[in-house]
Amino acid sequence: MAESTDCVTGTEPVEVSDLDLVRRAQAGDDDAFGELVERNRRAVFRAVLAALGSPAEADDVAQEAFVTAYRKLDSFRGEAAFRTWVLAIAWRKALDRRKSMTRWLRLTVAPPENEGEVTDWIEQMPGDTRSQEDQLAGAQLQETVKRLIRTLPRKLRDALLLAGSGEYTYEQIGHILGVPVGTVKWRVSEARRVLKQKMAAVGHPHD
Amino acid sequence: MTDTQRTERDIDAAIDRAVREIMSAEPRPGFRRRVLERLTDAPPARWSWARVTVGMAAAAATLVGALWLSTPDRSPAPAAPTLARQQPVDVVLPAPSPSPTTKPRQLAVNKTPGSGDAPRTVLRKPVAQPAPGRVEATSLLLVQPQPQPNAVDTMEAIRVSPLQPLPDADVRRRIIERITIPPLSPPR
Repeated sequence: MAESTDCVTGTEPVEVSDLDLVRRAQAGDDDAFGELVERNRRAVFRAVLAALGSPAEADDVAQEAFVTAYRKLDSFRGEAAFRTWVLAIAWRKALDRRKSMTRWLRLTVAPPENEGEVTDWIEQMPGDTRSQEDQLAGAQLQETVKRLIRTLPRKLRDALLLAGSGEYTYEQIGHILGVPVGTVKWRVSEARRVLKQKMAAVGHPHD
Repeated sequence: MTDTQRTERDIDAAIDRAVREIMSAEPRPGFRRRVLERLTDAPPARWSWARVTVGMAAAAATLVGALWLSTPDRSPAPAAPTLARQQPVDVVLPAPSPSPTTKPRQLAVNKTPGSGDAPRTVLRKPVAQPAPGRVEATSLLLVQPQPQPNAVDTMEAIRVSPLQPLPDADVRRRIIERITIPPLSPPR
Protein backbone atom coordinates (compact mmCIF):
# COMPACT_ATOMS: atom_id res chain seq x y z
CA MET A 1 0.00 0.00 0.00
CA ALA A 2 2.82 2.33 0.93
CA GLU A 3 4.65 1.44 -2.25
CA SER A 4 1.62 2.32 -4.26
CA THR A 5 1.33 5.69 -2.57
CA ASP A 6 4.95 6.48 -3.09
CA CYS A 7 4.63 5.52 -6.69
CA VAL A 8 1.70 7.87 -7.22
CA THR A 9 3.23 10.81 -5.42
CA GLY A 10 6.50 10.40 -7.21
CA THR A 11 5.09 10.76 -10.73
CA GLU A 12 3.95 13.73 -12.70
CA PRO A 13 0.23 14.43 -12.51
CA VAL A 14 -1.46 12.78 -15.43
CA GLU A 15 -3.97 14.84 -17.37
CA VAL A 16 -7.25 13.02 -17.32
CA SER A 17 -9.27 13.45 -20.46
CA ASP A 18 -12.82 14.74 -20.45
CA LEU A 19 -13.99 11.37 -21.72
CA ASP A 20 -12.41 9.59 -18.76
CA LEU A 21 -14.07 12.03 -16.42
CA VAL A 22 -17.38 11.42 -18.15
CA ARG A 23 -17.01 7.67 -17.70
CA ARG A 24 -16.27 8.15 -14.02
CA ALA A 25 -19.20 10.51 -13.64
CA GLN A 26 -21.45 8.02 -15.38
CA ALA A 27 -20.37 5.50 -12.78
CA GLY A 28 -21.51 7.87 -10.04
CA ASP A 29 -18.39 9.91 -9.31
CA ASP A 30 -19.69 13.40 -8.67
CA ASP A 31 -16.19 14.75 -8.15
CA ALA A 32 -15.37 13.78 -11.71
CA PHE A 33 -18.38 15.71 -12.90
CA GLY A 34 -17.26 18.65 -10.78
CA GLU A 35 -13.95 18.59 -12.60
CA LEU A 36 -15.81 18.65 -15.91
CA VAL A 37 -17.70 21.70 -14.68
CA GLU A 38 -14.49 23.40 -13.69
CA ARG A 39 -12.88 22.75 -17.05
CA ASN A 40 -15.78 23.93 -19.15
CA ARG A 41 -17.52 26.54 -17.04
CA ARG A 42 -16.04 29.55 -18.80
CA ALA A 43 -16.73 28.26 -22.30
CA VAL A 44 -20.31 27.45 -21.37
CA PHE A 45 -20.80 30.72 -19.55
CA ARG A 46 -19.53 32.82 -22.44
CA ALA A 47 -21.60 31.01 -25.01
CA VAL A 48 -24.69 31.75 -22.97
CA LEU A 49 -23.47 35.31 -22.46
CA ALA A 50 -23.25 35.76 -26.23
CA ALA A 51 -26.91 34.87 -26.49
CA LEU A 52 -28.19 36.74 -23.45
CA GLY A 53 -25.84 39.66 -22.93
CA SER A 54 -26.37 39.65 -19.19
CA PRO A 55 -23.67 38.07 -16.98
CA ALA A 56 -26.16 37.36 -14.20
CA GLU A 57 -28.55 35.57 -16.57
CA ALA A 58 -25.66 33.76 -18.22
CA ASP A 59 -24.44 32.47 -14.87
CA ASP A 60 -27.84 31.04 -14.03
CA VAL A 61 -28.42 29.46 -17.43
CA ALA A 62 -24.92 28.00 -17.50
CA GLN A 63 -25.64 26.27 -14.20
CA GLU A 64 -28.88 24.89 -15.62
CA ALA A 65 -26.97 23.60 -18.62
CA PHE A 66 -24.57 21.64 -16.45
CA VAL A 67 -27.39 20.22 -14.38
CA THR A 68 -29.14 19.10 -17.56
CA ALA A 69 -25.91 17.58 -18.82
CA TYR A 70 -25.61 15.66 -15.55
CA ARG A 71 -29.13 14.32 -15.93
CA LYS A 72 -28.47 13.24 -19.51
CA LEU A 73 -25.01 11.93 -18.87
CA ASP A 74 -26.00 8.35 -19.60
CA SER A 75 -26.99 9.35 -23.11
CA PHE A 76 -23.55 10.77 -23.84
CA ARG A 77 -21.84 8.23 -26.11
CA GLY A 78 -18.61 10.07 -26.78
CA GLU A 79 -19.13 10.66 -30.50
CA ALA A 80 -18.38 14.35 -29.91
CA ALA A 81 -16.28 16.07 -27.29
CA PHE A 82 -17.93 16.70 -23.95
CA ARG A 83 -17.41 20.44 -24.39
CA THR A 84 -19.21 20.43 -27.74
CA TRP A 85 -22.03 18.39 -26.26
CA VAL A 86 -22.54 20.60 -23.23
CA LEU A 87 -22.22 23.75 -25.34
CA ALA A 88 -25.09 22.59 -27.49
CA ILE A 89 -27.19 22.02 -24.37
CA ALA A 90 -26.26 25.44 -23.02
CA TRP A 91 -27.07 27.16 -26.29
CA ARG A 92 -30.54 25.66 -26.45
CA LYS A 93 -31.21 26.77 -22.90
CA ALA A 94 -29.90 30.24 -23.66
CA LEU A 95 -32.21 30.56 -26.65
CA ASP A 96 -35.14 29.45 -24.53
CA ARG A 97 -34.28 32.06 -21.93
CA ARG A 98 -33.83 34.73 -24.59
CA LYS A 99 -37.24 33.98 -26.04
CA SER A 100 -38.93 34.16 -22.68
CA MET A 101 -37.18 37.41 -21.76
CA THR A 102 -37.91 38.99 -25.13
CA ARG A 103 -41.55 37.99 -24.76
CA TRP A 104 -41.65 39.50 -21.28
CA LEU A 105 -40.05 42.74 -22.43
CA ARG A 106 -42.45 43.07 -25.31
CA LEU A 107 -45.28 42.92 -22.84
CA THR A 108 -43.76 45.40 -20.41
CA VAL A 109 -41.62 47.75 -22.50
CA ALA A 110 -42.80 49.77 -25.47
CA PRO A 111 -40.84 48.81 -28.60
CA PRO A 112 -38.52 51.46 -30.02
CA GLU A 113 -40.10 53.34 -32.87
CA ASN A 114 -36.94 54.34 -34.71
CA GLU A 115 -35.59 50.82 -35.24
CA GLY A 116 -36.50 49.10 -38.44
CA GLU A 117 -34.51 45.95 -37.89
CA VAL A 118 -35.17 42.85 -35.91
CA THR A 119 -34.55 43.73 -32.32
CA ASP A 120 -34.61 41.89 -29.06
CA TRP A 121 -34.15 42.60 -25.41
CA ILE A 122 -30.38 42.93 -25.49
CA GLU A 123 -30.63 46.08 -27.57
CA GLN A 124 -32.73 47.72 -24.92
CA MET A 125 -30.27 47.13 -22.14
CA PRO A 126 -28.09 50.06 -21.09
CA GLY A 127 -24.38 49.86 -21.80
CA ASP A 128 -22.21 48.31 -19.15
CA THR A 129 -19.49 50.92 -19.17
CA ARG A 130 -21.29 54.20 -19.46
CA SER A 131 -19.17 56.53 -17.40
CA GLN A 132 -17.26 59.72 -17.69
CA GLU A 133 -14.37 57.85 -19.29
CA ASP A 134 -16.63 57.01 -22.20
CA GLN A 135 -16.75 60.66 -23.01
CA LEU A 136 -13.11 60.56 -24.00
CA ALA A 137 -12.45 60.39 -27.71
CA GLY A 138 -10.83 56.97 -27.75
CA ALA A 139 -13.47 55.34 -25.63
CA GLN A 140 -16.31 56.95 -27.50
CA LEU A 141 -15.70 54.85 -30.58
CA GLN A 142 -15.51 51.72 -28.48
CA GLU A 143 -18.78 52.47 -26.81
CA THR A 144 -20.43 53.22 -30.09
CA VAL A 145 -19.34 49.87 -31.48
CA LYS A 146 -20.68 48.03 -28.47
CA ARG A 147 -23.97 49.79 -28.76
CA LEU A 148 -24.20 49.02 -32.46
CA ILE A 149 -23.33 45.36 -31.89
CA ARG A 150 -26.46 45.11 -29.78
CA THR A 151 -28.51 46.33 -32.72
CA LEU A 152 -27.27 43.64 -35.09
CA PRO A 153 -29.65 40.94 -36.21
CA ARG A 154 -29.46 38.08 -33.78
CA LYS A 155 -27.93 35.52 -36.12
CA LEU A 156 -25.14 37.88 -37.10
CA ARG A 157 -24.55 39.04 -33.56
CA ASP A 158 -24.40 35.48 -32.17
CA ALA A 159 -21.81 34.45 -34.73
CA LEU A 160 -19.74 37.61 -34.24
CA LEU A 161 -19.65 37.32 -30.45
CA LEU A 162 -18.92 33.60 -30.40
CA ALA A 163 -16.14 33.97 -32.95
CA GLY A 164 -14.71 37.07 -31.31
CA SER A 165 -14.57 35.56 -27.84
CA GLY A 166 -11.65 33.34 -28.80
CA GLU A 167 -13.13 30.42 -26.87
CA TYR A 168 -14.36 28.33 -29.77
CA THR A 169 -13.31 27.07 -33.14
CA TYR A 170 -15.46 27.70 -36.18
CA GLU A 171 -16.40 24.02 -36.10
CA GLN A 172 -17.62 24.34 -32.53
CA ILE A 173 -19.55 27.47 -33.38
CA GLY A 174 -21.15 25.69 -36.29
CA HIS A 175 -22.15 22.85 -33.99
CA ILE A 176 -23.55 25.25 -31.42
CA LEU A 177 -25.56 27.21 -33.95
CA GLY A 178 -26.48 24.17 -36.02
CA VAL A 179 -25.11 25.57 -39.26
CA PRO A 180 -22.14 24.72 -41.51
CA VAL A 181 -18.78 26.31 -40.92
CA GLY A 182 -19.10 28.32 -44.11
CA THR A 183 -22.30 29.84 -42.83
CA VAL A 184 -20.57 30.81 -39.61
CA LYS A 185 -17.80 32.56 -41.49
CA TRP A 186 -20.26 34.36 -43.73
CA ARG A 187 -22.26 35.57 -40.74
CA VAL A 188 -19.16 36.92 -39.04
CA SER A 189 -18.13 38.75 -42.18
CA GLU A 190 -21.63 40.07 -42.73
CA ALA A 191 -21.83 41.26 -39.13
CA ARG A 192 -18.69 43.30 -39.61
CA ARG A 193 -19.98 44.76 -42.84
CA VAL A 194 -23.29 45.76 -41.30
CA LEU A 195 -21.49 47.22 -38.30
CA LYS A 196 -19.36 49.43 -40.51
CA GLN A 197 -22.42 50.61 -42.33
CA LYS A 198 -24.04 51.53 -39.06
CA MET A 199 -20.93 53.32 -37.89
CA ALA A 200 -20.84 55.34 -41.08
CA ALA A 201 -24.43 56.27 -40.48
CA VAL A 202 -23.63 57.64 -37.03
CA GLY A 203 -20.57 59.61 -38.13
CA HIS A 204 -17.70 57.13 -38.23
CA PRO A 205 -17.01 56.72 -41.94
CA HIS A 206 -14.87 53.80 -42.92
CA ASP A 207 -14.54 54.34 -46.65
CA MET B 1 -1.12 53.50 -45.78
CA THR B 2 -3.94 55.79 -46.71
CA ASP B 3 -6.30 57.43 -44.31
CA THR B 4 -9.07 55.17 -45.55
CA GLN B 5 -7.01 52.07 -44.81
CA ARG B 6 -6.09 53.44 -41.41
CA THR B 7 -9.70 54.18 -40.63
CA GLU B 8 -10.71 50.70 -41.78
CA ARG B 9 -8.08 49.13 -39.58
CA ASP B 10 -9.09 51.24 -36.61
CA ILE B 11 -12.71 50.30 -36.99
CA ASP B 12 -11.85 46.59 -37.27
CA ALA B 13 -9.75 46.91 -34.14
CA ALA B 14 -12.56 48.73 -32.39
CA ILE B 15 -14.96 45.94 -33.30
CA ASP B 16 -12.56 43.31 -32.01
CA ARG B 17 -12.05 45.18 -28.76
CA ALA B 18 -15.76 45.71 -28.27
CA VAL B 19 -16.49 42.02 -28.83
CA ARG B 20 -13.76 40.96 -26.43
CA GLU B 21 -15.03 43.40 -23.86
CA ILE B 22 -18.57 42.13 -24.15
CA MET B 23 -17.39 38.53 -23.87
CA SER B 24 -14.81 39.10 -21.15
CA ALA B 25 -17.16 38.48 -18.26
CA GLU B 26 -16.51 35.50 -16.02
CA PRO B 27 -18.93 33.32 -14.09
CA ARG B 28 -19.34 34.34 -10.50
CA PRO B 29 -17.02 32.70 -7.94
CA GLY B 30 -18.28 29.40 -6.60
CA PHE B 31 -19.78 28.33 -9.90
CA ARG B 32 -18.69 24.70 -9.48
CA ARG B 33 -20.02 24.52 -5.93
CA ARG B 34 -23.38 25.96 -6.99
CA VAL B 35 -23.70 23.48 -9.81
CA LEU B 36 -22.92 20.55 -7.52
CA GLU B 37 -25.46 21.82 -5.03
CA ARG B 38 -28.08 21.78 -7.74
CA LEU B 39 -27.13 18.21 -8.61
CA THR B 40 -28.28 17.00 -5.22
CA ASP B 41 -31.78 17.90 -6.29
CA ALA B 42 -31.36 16.26 -9.67
CA PRO B 43 -30.07 12.69 -9.46
CA PRO B 44 -28.97 11.31 -12.79
CA ALA B 45 -31.43 9.17 -14.67
CA ARG B 46 -29.79 5.77 -14.32
CA TRP B 47 -30.98 2.87 -16.43
CA SER B 48 -32.77 5.22 -18.73
CA TRP B 49 -32.79 2.67 -21.56
CA ALA B 50 -34.12 -0.01 -19.27
CA ARG B 51 -36.88 2.33 -18.18
CA VAL B 52 -37.75 3.07 -21.78
CA THR B 53 -37.81 -0.62 -22.62
CA VAL B 54 -40.03 -1.48 -19.68
CA GLY B 55 -42.36 1.36 -20.57
CA MET B 56 -42.63 0.27 -24.17
CA ALA B 57 -43.29 -3.34 -23.14
CA ALA B 58 -46.04 -2.22 -20.78
CA ALA B 59 -47.60 -0.09 -23.50
CA ALA B 60 -47.48 -2.99 -25.95
CA ALA B 61 -49.09 -5.35 -23.44
CA THR B 62 -51.83 -2.83 -22.77
CA LEU B 63 -52.48 -2.45 -26.48
CA VAL B 64 -52.67 -6.19 -27.07
CA GLY B 65 -55.04 -6.57 -24.13
CA ALA B 66 -57.28 -3.80 -25.41
CA LEU B 67 -57.40 -5.36 -28.86
CA TRP B 68 -58.21 -8.78 -27.41
CA LEU B 69 -61.04 -7.40 -25.32
CA SER B 70 -62.48 -5.42 -28.21
CA THR B 71 -62.66 -8.45 -30.50
CA PRO B 72 -66.36 -9.52 -30.67
CA ASP B 73 -65.81 -13.23 -31.45
CA ARG B 74 -62.81 -14.74 -29.84
CA SER B 75 -63.86 -18.38 -30.34
CA PRO B 76 -62.28 -20.47 -33.09
CA ALA B 77 -64.18 -21.03 -36.29
CA PRO B 78 -66.47 -24.08 -36.21
CA ALA B 79 -64.67 -26.40 -38.52
CA ALA B 80 -66.58 -29.62 -38.13
CA PRO B 81 -70.18 -28.38 -38.76
CA THR B 82 -69.14 -26.39 -41.76
CA LEU B 83 -67.49 -29.34 -43.29
CA ALA B 84 -70.50 -31.51 -42.63
CA ARG B 85 -72.85 -29.09 -44.37
CA GLN B 86 -70.63 -28.96 -47.34
CA GLN B 87 -70.88 -32.63 -47.96
CA PRO B 88 -72.49 -33.35 -51.33
CA VAL B 89 -76.11 -34.31 -51.04
CA ASP B 90 -77.23 -37.51 -52.57
CA VAL B 91 -79.67 -36.94 -55.38
CA VAL B 92 -82.46 -39.46 -55.58
CA LEU B 93 -83.92 -39.47 -59.01
CA PRO B 94 -87.46 -40.78 -59.26
CA ALA B 95 -88.50 -43.36 -61.71
CA PRO B 96 -89.31 -42.04 -65.19
CA SER B 97 -92.91 -40.97 -65.49
CA PRO B 98 -95.02 -42.44 -68.29
CA SER B 99 -97.02 -39.26 -68.76
CA PRO B 100 -95.67 -36.91 -71.43
CA THR B 101 -97.25 -33.92 -69.73
CA THR B 102 -95.10 -34.30 -66.76
CA LYS B 103 -92.28 -31.97 -66.94
CA PRO B 104 -88.89 -33.05 -66.01
CA ARG B 105 -88.16 -32.76 -62.48
CA GLN B 106 -87.05 -29.39 -61.45
CA LEU B 107 -83.81 -29.14 -59.82
CA ALA B 108 -83.34 -26.44 -57.32
CA VAL B 109 -79.83 -25.42 -57.50
CA ASN B 110 -78.44 -22.97 -55.14
CA LYS B 111 -74.93 -21.98 -54.75
CA THR B 112 -73.80 -19.78 -52.02
CA PRO B 113 -72.00 -16.83 -53.58
CA GLY B 114 -68.41 -16.85 -52.89
CA SER B 115 -68.56 -19.95 -50.81
CA GLY B 116 -67.11 -22.28 -53.37
CA ASP B 117 -69.59 -24.93 -52.39
CA ALA B 118 -70.75 -27.49 -54.83
CA PRO B 119 -74.28 -27.01 -56.14
CA ARG B 120 -76.75 -28.49 -53.76
CA THR B 121 -79.90 -30.20 -54.92
CA VAL B 122 -82.87 -31.39 -52.96
CA LEU B 123 -85.54 -33.37 -54.66
CA ARG B 124 -88.90 -34.48 -53.44
CA LYS B 125 -90.79 -37.16 -55.26
CA PRO B 126 -94.15 -36.38 -56.90
CA VAL B 127 -96.93 -38.31 -55.36
CA ALA B 128 -99.54 -38.25 -58.13
CA GLN B 129 -100.25 -37.29 -61.70
CA PRO B 130 -100.71 -33.55 -62.20
CA ALA B 131 -104.09 -32.13 -62.94
CA PRO B 132 -104.67 -30.63 -66.41
CA GLY B 133 -103.20 -27.19 -66.70
CA ARG B 134 -101.09 -27.60 -63.66
CA VAL B 135 -97.66 -28.68 -63.25
CA GLU B 136 -96.81 -31.25 -60.82
CA ALA B 137 -93.32 -30.73 -59.95
CA THR B 138 -91.00 -31.71 -57.42
CA SER B 139 -90.97 -29.46 -54.53
CA LEU B 140 -88.08 -27.20 -54.26
CA LEU B 141 -86.35 -26.59 -51.14
CA LEU B 142 -83.96 -23.77 -51.61
CA VAL B 143 -81.31 -24.46 -49.25
CA GLN B 144 -79.68 -21.20 -48.56
CA PRO B 145 -76.93 -21.41 -46.08
CA GLN B 146 -77.50 -18.78 -43.52
CA PRO B 147 -74.62 -16.85 -42.12
CA GLN B 148 -73.09 -18.69 -39.29
CA PRO B 149 -73.35 -16.38 -36.33
CA ASN B 150 -71.48 -18.54 -33.99
CA ALA B 151 -71.69 -22.22 -34.46
CA VAL B 152 -70.20 -23.05 -31.13
CA ASP B 153 -72.66 -20.90 -29.26
CA THR B 154 -75.68 -22.32 -31.08
CA MET B 155 -74.69 -25.93 -30.75
CA GLU B 156 -76.60 -27.94 -28.28
CA ALA B 157 -75.43 -30.88 -26.39
CA ILE B 158 -76.14 -34.18 -28.02
CA ARG B 159 -78.70 -36.17 -26.12
CA VAL B 160 -78.85 -39.85 -26.59
CA SER B 161 -82.32 -41.25 -26.16
CA PRO B 162 -83.11 -44.90 -25.96
CA LEU B 163 -84.46 -46.36 -29.15
CA GLN B 164 -88.21 -46.93 -29.24
CA PRO B 165 -89.72 -49.75 -31.21
CA LEU B 166 -91.30 -48.59 -34.43
CA PRO B 167 -95.07 -49.07 -34.71
CA ASP B 168 -96.36 -51.25 -37.46
CA ALA B 169 -97.08 -48.77 -40.13
CA ASP B 170 -96.18 -47.91 -43.67
CA VAL B 171 -93.21 -45.79 -43.27
CA ARG B 172 -93.22 -44.59 -46.86
CA ARG B 173 -96.73 -43.22 -46.66
CA ARG B 174 -95.93 -41.32 -43.60
CA ILE B 175 -93.00 -39.53 -45.02
CA ILE B 176 -94.33 -38.80 -48.49
CA GLU B 177 -96.76 -35.97 -48.45
CA ARG B 178 -98.77 -34.57 -51.26
CA ILE B 179 -98.26 -30.99 -52.12
CA THR B 180 -99.41 -28.72 -54.87
CA ILE B 181 -97.54 -25.67 -55.83
CA PRO B 182 -98.07 -23.07 -58.55
CA PRO B 183 -95.99 -23.19 -61.68
CA LEU B 184 -92.49 -22.25 -61.32
CA SER B 185 -91.37 -18.88 -62.44
CA PRO B 186 -88.32 -18.62 -64.54
CA PRO B 187 -85.25 -18.17 -62.52
CA ARG B 188 -84.18 -14.61 -62.01
